[in-house]
Amino acid sequence: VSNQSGILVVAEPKDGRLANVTLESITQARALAGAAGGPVSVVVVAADAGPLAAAAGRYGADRVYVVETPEAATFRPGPFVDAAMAAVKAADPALVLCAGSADGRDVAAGCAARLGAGLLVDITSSSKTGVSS
Amino acid sequence: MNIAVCVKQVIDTEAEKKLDPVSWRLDRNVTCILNPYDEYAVEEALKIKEAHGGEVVVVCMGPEKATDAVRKSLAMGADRAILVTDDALAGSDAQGTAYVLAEALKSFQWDLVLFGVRSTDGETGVVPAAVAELLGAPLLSTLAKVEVQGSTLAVHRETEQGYVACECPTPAVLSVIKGINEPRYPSMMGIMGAKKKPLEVKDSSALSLDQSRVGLAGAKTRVLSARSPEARKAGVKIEDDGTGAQKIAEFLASAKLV
Repeated sequence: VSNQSGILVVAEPKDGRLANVTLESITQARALAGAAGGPVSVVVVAADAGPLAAAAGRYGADRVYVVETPEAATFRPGPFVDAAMAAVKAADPALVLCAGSADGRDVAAGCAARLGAGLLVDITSSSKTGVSS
Repeated sequence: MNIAVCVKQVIDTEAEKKLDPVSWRLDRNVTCILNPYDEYAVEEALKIKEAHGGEVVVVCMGPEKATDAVRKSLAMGADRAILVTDDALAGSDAQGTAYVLAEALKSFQWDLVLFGVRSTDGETGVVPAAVAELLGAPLLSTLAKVEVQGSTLAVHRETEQGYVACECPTPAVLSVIKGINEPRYPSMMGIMGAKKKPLEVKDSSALSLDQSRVGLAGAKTRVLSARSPEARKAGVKIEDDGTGAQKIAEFLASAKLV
């Protein structure tokens, strides 16, 4: 059984801002982290990450990991999975939350395959029950 | 250009979907069909083959009855097929399925792997990305257009954010969306010919699968319960007696929409 208790949210940039689903994910992560006692981290991958990182902080992130590169202006699964995995390594979270979008699905599936972790999609609510091991 | 197309057999869109109340697995003892989204992938593979040559190989994981979905792909024009079937694989989740497909795809040479964007039963849409990751191949998902230019692909992705034009070298893993083409109906000759096309059936041991990663026991996710969505309730009907506009405004205000 892992001692990990933190949650990592992989931010979805949209038109130079955080997509609404990312803000919702941070709120959900806060609720879950409240029960588990771990930090909420957000990884922002963007060409101009400053405003997104600041917004992540305002919405409740304890830590923000930033990968800023002009190449991130357009989503590509490989680099986004690499960036998310670097944040996973740094934050060592129990749970990674991605957007339930086309792009977010690619990131979630890539990370889960690389981690050998379970993968759930299209989540509308979540709670920590202590059932899983 | 040799193309692998991964297909799934799903229960008929018209059939009532029932879940086993103990395992929460889908009851597949009803009419089953080739996943409609996969028809677009098969069609796209055939179009690329017709323009550039090569071979189209169908890869499927499923129970023995999934042979029907495989045969339909062959009847459409695919050249040969591999069906991975084994009781030990039943109950695999998306990750387990991706692992099995990736291992099957390692057993032959291909330049492209095509997927339908998702299945109409599991609806996860994550298997293409997981397979790409396991194969270490680039992924282009939710494609509305695919053009082969030598060993390079020029594609259009369609996402919630809009349209993206991308280029990618082969080999690559692609998922295509509804509307990318018009899937052909198998001709009578195609249906007859499909019976003679090579269909290789493989089990877990033929692919040397790690049993801890497959089946219900290998699944990293557990279904604890399931229920049908609530039936839609009838709306409120208001006859307009002159106060209709007022009532609409009140309704919108009560729902905090204005």
